[in-house]
Amino acid sequence: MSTDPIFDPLRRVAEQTPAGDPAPLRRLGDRRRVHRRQVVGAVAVVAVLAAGAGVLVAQLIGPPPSRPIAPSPAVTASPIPGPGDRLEDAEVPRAEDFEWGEGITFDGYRASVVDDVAISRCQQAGTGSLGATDTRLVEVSSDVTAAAVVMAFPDEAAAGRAWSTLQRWGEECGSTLEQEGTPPVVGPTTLDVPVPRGRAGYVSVAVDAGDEPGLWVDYGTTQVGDRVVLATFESVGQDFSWDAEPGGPVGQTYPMIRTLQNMNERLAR
Amino acid sequence: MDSEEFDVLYRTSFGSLVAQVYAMCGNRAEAQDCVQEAFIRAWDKRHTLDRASSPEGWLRTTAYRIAVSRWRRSRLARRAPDRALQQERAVEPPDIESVALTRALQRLPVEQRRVIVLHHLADLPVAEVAREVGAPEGTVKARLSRGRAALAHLLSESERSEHR
Repeated sequence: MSTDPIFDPLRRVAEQTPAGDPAPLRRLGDRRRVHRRQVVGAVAVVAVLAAGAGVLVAQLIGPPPSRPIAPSPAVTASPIPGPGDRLEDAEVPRAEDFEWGEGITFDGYRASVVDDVAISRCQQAGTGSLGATDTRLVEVSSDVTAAAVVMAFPDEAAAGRAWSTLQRWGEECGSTLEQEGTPPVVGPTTLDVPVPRGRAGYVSVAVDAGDEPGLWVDYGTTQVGDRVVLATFESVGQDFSWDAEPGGPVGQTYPMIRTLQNMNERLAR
Repeated sequence: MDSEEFDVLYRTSFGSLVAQVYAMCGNRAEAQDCVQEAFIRAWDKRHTLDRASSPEGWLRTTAYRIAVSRWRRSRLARRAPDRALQQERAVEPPDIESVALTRALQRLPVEQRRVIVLHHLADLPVAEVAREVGAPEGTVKARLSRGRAALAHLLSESERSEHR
């Protein structure tokens, strides 16, 4: 043990620093663990419970009580589903729509009907608050966590409101992450995504993952008519170099840009 | 690790970790925040902590990384560092000696500062310091010797300027 007296002033700091009560720290740690499980595990929970327990699901995957929930767009009261209010299988994203780069493949495809789901930590509420008449969740397996939700709305205006809300959640992702105790270390960066029809937007943000390398969160949305897709990637580790626009030095645009373009094209067919 | 073990670890190591991070980053309030944040992450990921050979070493490394990360962000954003926690905490006013020592430490190269903190404040033997920083023992000994000499010089310089 060092007894060098030159360091005594800092040893006194150690003695004079009260530890306080550890219980609040454990509670915060528990909250993070629960929230992470909700985001990552919500897909499975919702798929099981969606059949008859929509309200319970909303409570399970909803944000923590302390987090302010943004007002939802106006929702048509009890819409009577028409032919266009239901999604066709051809509109639901496929495994090949998810793109990354060399060494990463997406398989283990699963699609399910859900009422309400949170697939990204940027979401301020479950998708149930957006007023969709039909929602499908798509999960794929990979080293990169990836998921997408495609939603049908009664009309283009309702879809536009939902898209704007999703887009705002992405733009506000930095403060959402800060409230969760994982403030961004890079971004959020917002990019417009060129798509053949409708519109699309993409937000990228990285958080410090503590003992692990950085966690990159990609959050993308696209709207075509009365359909909206939300797609998300979460990857741990060093960021890769991608181009923001085609023809860049890397030769490949960001994975979320390519993924959103694929999903947009599927809806535009 | 159960809650009782966590609480014991927290109570026995919090002050010491704060002093170590303070010595590294030079800001006591920031050091307290970073150590608290490290404990939150430790509880969140307690399976990781169970696997760590030294829970205190894991906490020290995590708290230091948080401090570095916040410093980078505050520089990038040109704003005050974030406060992850709002828990009220009594902070003793800094005494002149600890401020002078911390200022002098900040003027040392970071690798010298790190081995000094690990050896003299965390009380790690040279072999463990070498393991933690990933350097040979001889290098650690040289950094300790040079750092200690530089520190003595900086402190006497600071005393002389105060007496003028």
